[in-house]
Amino acid sequence: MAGRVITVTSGKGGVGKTTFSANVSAALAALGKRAVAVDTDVGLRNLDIVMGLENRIVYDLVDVVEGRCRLQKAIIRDKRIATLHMLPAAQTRDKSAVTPDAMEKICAELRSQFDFTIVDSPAGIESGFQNAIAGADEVVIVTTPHVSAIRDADRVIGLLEAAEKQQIHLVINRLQPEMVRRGDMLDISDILDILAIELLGIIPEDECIVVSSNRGELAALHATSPAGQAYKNIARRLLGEDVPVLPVEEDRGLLKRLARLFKGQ
Amino acid sequence: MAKPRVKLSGTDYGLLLRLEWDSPLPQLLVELEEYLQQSPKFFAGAQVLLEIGSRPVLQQDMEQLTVVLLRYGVTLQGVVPILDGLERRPPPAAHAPFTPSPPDPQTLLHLEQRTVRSGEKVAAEGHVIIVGDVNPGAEVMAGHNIFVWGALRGSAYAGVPDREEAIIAALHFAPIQLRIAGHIARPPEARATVAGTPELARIDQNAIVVEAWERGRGGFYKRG
Repeated sequence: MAGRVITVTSGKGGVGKTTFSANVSAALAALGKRAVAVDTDVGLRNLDIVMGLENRIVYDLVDVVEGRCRLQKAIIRDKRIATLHMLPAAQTRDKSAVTPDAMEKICAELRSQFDFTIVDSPAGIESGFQNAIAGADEVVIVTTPHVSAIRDADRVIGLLEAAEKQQIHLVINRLQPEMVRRGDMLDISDILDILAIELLGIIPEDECIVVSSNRGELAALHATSPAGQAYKNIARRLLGEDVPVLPVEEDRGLLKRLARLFKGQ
Repeated sequence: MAKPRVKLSGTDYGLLLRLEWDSPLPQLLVELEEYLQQSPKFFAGAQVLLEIGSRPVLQQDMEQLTVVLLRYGVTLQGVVPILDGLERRPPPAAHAPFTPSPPDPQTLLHLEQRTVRSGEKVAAEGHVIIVGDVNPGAEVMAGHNIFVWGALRGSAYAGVPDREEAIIAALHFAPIQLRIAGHIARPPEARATVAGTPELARIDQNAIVVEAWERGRGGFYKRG
């Protein structure tokens, strides 16, 4: 079996890489695919918290790299979805504990065992980033509709092109459609105009994410979260399904319209 | 030689005849005739406007003038007071017309067909041609000219280090910063860029100017 290794990166921090990695892994797993989320942010690990698997870590990525345990032993299996897994980063070490070569080997092994290996990368373009993209078949760039995030995304895309990564997808996170309508936020077309790569999905701003990330619950497993729905759509697109890339809040817009209707306006 | 008392000049309204009215009329008529004699073919069939200034002109003087003009096939089209403001206007742009040096076949061309992204730098000694966009945070440097067949949103530095005649041209012109030779320009915040209008930057009177690349201006290398 040859799965896909997809690295999630952004350049800028805080745009939602980890949330994306956790939720898309979960959404893929929920669709019956064997998925593993890998945290490469050695020294600043977060993915385990967002996925609610913090208390089950025994071995980590650095243990595997340094030969203290086999890959199988470090991988944690999720209890909610049988096909969802996670490989945590080490918290007490730094980025130099991993090398691109080691990551390539680990990714090759994961590729043979999982349908999807989602590699969450640290912010920045230094060694941690180089480790994260070393074994990637595809890359997802997460950005927010902010000029600084887009600038960093552009920088990262340039680095990926130089590293000859062919498949680069774009995800626009935390879009506030109301602000776009008012002209206070960058438009999707403005972003695509500059970054000029294929759009994989748009995730609306959603308060559920704050709550679920803090609790280690996954929005993609909630029926009602608009962002969760967007993650599910992205998972289906990764599987080759033709799901239209529309702002996901359409439904809420419809509800508002209905509400107005009932108010007789 | 004394200052000519008769002068014909072209205006937007046609030929304008100016006379130094302070001189006696017979003298003016002699000079006018001499003037017309210099190129009778040019004046045959021409129409002129006569500038009379703010003084009254006697009808007989006018008749004498007309006779002289008619002798050379020139008709008097009309009489105007001082026509200072009506003389041939300078070209609409306040800048000197663009006259680039002829292309040197020895100058190397550096071609990039891609999006130049933030943090990337394209530099070459000759001309640089980008087929694609130059994004914010990207930098293009050239010893000669820079042409962007796409959007220029990053920084461009042409004529490195001191080639004042270098230019920077782009289909969509929205750079963060421009440099040509030793000059630096930063486009004003609210500069109106007309989408779809190619623009060109060059040095004029010691400053970088940006102007629209208009259709019909023709291949600029043909000018100058």
